[in-house]
Formats: sequence, C-alpha cells, structure tokens
Amino acid sequence: MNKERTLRIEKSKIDLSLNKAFYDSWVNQMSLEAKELGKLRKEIIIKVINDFKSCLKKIDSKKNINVKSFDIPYEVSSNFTTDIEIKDISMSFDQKMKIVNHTLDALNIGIQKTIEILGKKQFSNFQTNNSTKSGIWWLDLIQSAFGIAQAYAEKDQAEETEVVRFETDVKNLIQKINNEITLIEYGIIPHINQLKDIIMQLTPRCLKSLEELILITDEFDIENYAHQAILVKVRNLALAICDSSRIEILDSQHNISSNDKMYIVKCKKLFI
Amino acid sequence: MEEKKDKTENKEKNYFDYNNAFNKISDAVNSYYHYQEIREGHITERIRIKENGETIRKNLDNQKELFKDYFNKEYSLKKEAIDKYFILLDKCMAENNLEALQGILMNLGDLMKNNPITPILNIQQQAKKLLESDSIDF
Repeated sequence: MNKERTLRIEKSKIDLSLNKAFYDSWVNQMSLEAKELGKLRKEIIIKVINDFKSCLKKIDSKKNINVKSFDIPYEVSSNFTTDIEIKDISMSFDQKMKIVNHTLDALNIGIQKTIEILGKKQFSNFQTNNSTKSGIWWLDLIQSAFGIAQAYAEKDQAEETEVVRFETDVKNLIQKINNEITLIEYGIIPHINQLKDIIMQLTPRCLKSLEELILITDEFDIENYAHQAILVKVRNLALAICDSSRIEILDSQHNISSNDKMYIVKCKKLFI
Repeated sequence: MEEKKDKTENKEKNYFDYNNAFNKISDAVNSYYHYQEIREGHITERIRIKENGETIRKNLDNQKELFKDYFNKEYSLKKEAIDKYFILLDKCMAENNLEALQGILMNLGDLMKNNPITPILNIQQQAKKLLESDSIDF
C-alpha cells in the first residue's frame, strides 16, 4: 500500500473516530437528561405522595385512593455498534507466479548477455541456448519487465478499489451517525424535556392544592363539597404526576435498568 | 570450405527467430489489453461504489431532514396543546370543576404518553421486516 493510500485510510479512520466521539457525547447527554428526569420525578413523587399520605392518615380515608401499578419501564438505549475494516489486498497466486517467471526470464537474459560479452572479449565462442527466446535480447527483457509491471499494476488497481470502498463505507457510516444524532437531538431529548416541563408545571399546582388540604385536614368533612373538591384535586394531580413515571422514553427493547426497578418498587410501596 | 561452413553455422546460430519475436510482441500486446480490461473493471467498480455511496448518503440526508421537520412540528404542536391544557387546568381548579379537571389531566397523560419517536421506530422495524422477507403480504 503506498503512502498516499495509507494517508487516505488514516484520514477516514480519524473522521470516523471523531464522529463516534461526537455521537458518544450526545448519548451521554441524553443519558444525563434521562437520569435528571428520573431523579426529578422520584423526588417530586416521594414528596407529593408522602405529604398526601400523611394527610390521608389524618383524614383516615385511604380507601378512596386507587392503587396504580408502575410496571412499565422506560429505557434509553442505542443500537449503534457498526464498525468497518479495510480489507488487506495481497497478491494473487497468478500475479506472484507472473512476477517470479518474468524475473527469472530477465535474469536469464542478463546472464546470457554477460556470457556473450565475455565470449567476445576472450575471442572465444560461448553460445547459450536461445531456443525459448526471440533472439532479440532487449525485446525479451522489455517483455519480462512489462510482465512484472503488469502484476504490480493489477494489485495496485485492486488496492485502489478497496481504499475507495473503505472511504465510501466510512462516509456512509458517518452519515448514519449524523442521523442517529439527529434522532437524539430532535427526537429523544425534546421528549425528555417536555416530560420534565409537564411535571414541573403539575408539581406547584399539586403542592398548592396539598397545602389547602393540609390546612383543612383537622376539620375535614366528607360531606362538604369544597373539602371533597380539594381532596379530589390533590389526588388527581398526584396521580397525574405518578403516571409520568410509567412513561417510556424508548420502547423498542422493554429492558429495565436496576435504577428504574428500584424506583418503580419505591413508587409502588408509597401508594399501597 | 571449412571456414564457409563455420560462417554458415554461426549465421544460423545468430539467426533471429522472427516467428518467436512476433509471438512475444503479440503476447505483450495481449497482456497489455488484458491489463486494460482489469483496469477498466476496477475503474467501473470504483465508480459504482462511489455512486452507490452517494445515493445512500442522499437518502440518509433526506431522512435526516424529514426527521427534523417531523420532530419540530410534532413538538411545537405538543407544546401548544400542553400550554392550552394548563390554562384550562387552572380555570377548572379555580372553578372546582372536577369532571373537567379529570378530563384535562387524562388528556395531559395521553399527551405525555404520546411519544413522537414511536411511529418512526415502528416504520423502521416494518421497513426492516420488508427488506428481510422475500415476499410481501397484503
């Protein structure tokens, strides 16, 4: 492989590794956003449910609460594992044989010519067997040189094709990486942010209603519509926040991480 | 007489085998054309690889732009709907309208569950299945 091709391959490899690093940084950011969402949800749910449960204990009306299951996990994953390797082009058997035969021919011609020259110098008549040659030594030599050059040129062509194939595969893979990044940047992260936004908007409303409920806990009257309304408001808002924990971010594999499992179990315990 | 004989023998020995020389030239020309054939084959193959790669990249680029447009539209629509639901939610909470409140929270829940990525994943899976299978069921 010549220097120019080696450089092209190296350049492609560098491009690919840079793009992979860029992709990894996006995956990391996505994971951070998802973890932040999980942490936020967990903190909010624990706070809301604890306060709500303590109010309910006081009111002693736990039976009004529907127990919800939190079995649906969410998952953030990536299936990007593709890799490309450059195929090593070695000489074919025919090409090797061509080189060996023509080199031997060229050597033979050289020896014959030397013997002839020596013979002329010593005024003697050395004659070698010329039966397989044309009789024109330089024509035979050119033909041998041409044969060797041809074998190398064929290998050179195959190498160039392989390098072009490698470069194209790398370019294609880089474009695929860019598409995956687009999916993360425009599809997954905004989804996580929107979930965060909804939870952040629901939480103050729920906490406000919870404060109202705490205020009336001591004189709570189930027959009083205003009291009932506050209780129902808190319950519905708390359930809406808890519902957010059942939302999947990607649902292709249905795998569940250990953190999510613990989180779901805690949520279940809080509500039962 | 003997000198003449030697000269004739030497001439015979130094005689150029034109037939063999012609064959050599012919072989060289043939092998040159054979190499040209191989070279042309490789050039064609390289052009095919490059053009195929360009088509793949163009398709991927179109897909990327489609993703961007789709997600931008979906999320802006969702954002608008979320804002409207929260305005209505505040109104229902202020008026103690519990039925409407429940309805709005249900809709908000549906909105949260509605993940714009899911249709794309489904399309990708279906496309993969179609590409993998030999027949298409209607």
